Amino acid sequence: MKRRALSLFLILFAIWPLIQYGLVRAYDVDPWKLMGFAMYCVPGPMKTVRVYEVSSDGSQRMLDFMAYDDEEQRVVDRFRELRRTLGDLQSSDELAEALLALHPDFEGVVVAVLSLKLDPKSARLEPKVKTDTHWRDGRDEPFIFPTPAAGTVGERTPG
Amino acid sequence: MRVNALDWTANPEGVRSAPDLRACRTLVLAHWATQGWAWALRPLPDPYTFAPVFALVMAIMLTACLAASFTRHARLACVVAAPFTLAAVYWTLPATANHTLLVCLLLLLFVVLDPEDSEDDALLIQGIRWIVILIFFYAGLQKVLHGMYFRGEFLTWMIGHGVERWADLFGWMIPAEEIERVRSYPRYLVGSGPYRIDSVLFWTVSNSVWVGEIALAIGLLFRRTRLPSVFVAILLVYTIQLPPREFMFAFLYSQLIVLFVPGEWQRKLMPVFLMAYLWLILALLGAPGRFLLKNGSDI
Repeated sequence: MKRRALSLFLILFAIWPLIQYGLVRAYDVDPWKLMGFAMYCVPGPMKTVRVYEVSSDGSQRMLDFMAYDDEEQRVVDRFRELRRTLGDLQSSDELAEALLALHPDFEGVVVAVLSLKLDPKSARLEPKVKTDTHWRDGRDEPFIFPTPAAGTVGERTPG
Repeated sequence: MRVNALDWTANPEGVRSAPDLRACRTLVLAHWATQGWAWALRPLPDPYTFAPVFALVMAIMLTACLAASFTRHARLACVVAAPFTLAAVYWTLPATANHTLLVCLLLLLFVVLDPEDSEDDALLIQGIRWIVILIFFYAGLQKVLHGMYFRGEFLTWMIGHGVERWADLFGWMIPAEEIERVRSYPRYLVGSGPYRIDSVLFWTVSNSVWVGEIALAIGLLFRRTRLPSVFVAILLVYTIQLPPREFMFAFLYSQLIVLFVPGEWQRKLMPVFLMAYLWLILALLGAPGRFLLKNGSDI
């Protein structure tokens, strides 16, 4: 019985790193974490989170969390930290809900995550941008940035 | 003939590993106690923070469990330590360090299997040896899958932006102007690079890392190649972990590699590892030995 249990444990232990690799590829999970034994395979994750408020007139403005209160900063820090490790598996729903609750004047919230990856072909840092739009009325459509702001992750069309 | 892969890592007929496994169990608890004190002394950042009181209680309890591991209540010590370690892993997920997850699994193995029992003794040694082999194999395979060792891209990145010691490790084989070049690239800028150094020697060293890890996994599997593999494996582990000062992983993994050596070497080396863990805690408290700490302040 113990022998079988140990064999099963070792089989799972042997399969898990392949699953972890699949998660890394599919969801941008941090290769260094979750016991895939891929430490020192790639540089650690380089991710920046930007959050934009969308007003009822359709304008957008990047939130400066240094100017906001501790609670707001806490929810963003928490999202940033979890997103860094879990990649796209960490949904931005909770962050958007918290921000919409804190700011009744926001029509919507756009969460943009910019990742930099070392590309083995070019050996240069390549960007990947993922944006999620959350509307107060719950509609499911992406916000299209009308005038890209240079130097921000918003310069790319969300998609 | 029925082939059981578990038997590939078994001891020769009649050879028991109980003394080594007892030492391993103590070192697993020592690892957890060290980690517990590190969390008590340096609380983790949000969202992984758990109450400082819990961290302190955990550190004290795990130290008591470590002390109990030298008595006939060693297994009970593992049973008592298990809920604390599971709680700590739960709170630190998903950012938990791989060595912390590994040592948690090892502790659970010591809860279920007792080195004093001859059947459990055989299963424990086979199981732990397989874990070491699988880690080496995947450490190599993951480097192949991520593809950043074939022309040294990852090592070039680390020379450019890793801790100073990475450049020291590889500096002798790379022209100084190449090191200056990769260091001049902005760390967080789109298009930064190329992180590539055209040196056949450097590429050879880079590729020898993953080739070596996979070869060691195979070498540790067979009894005839086991002993030389152990020496090379320990050398490789410390070569990789020395520059970033990842001693928590290095201590844990090297003591597990020693389990492949016959002659109760785990038991004989246990005081050395215990002193090393103690030194880490003392360094965290400000004693001489800050060079042991990651970024000069962490383990």
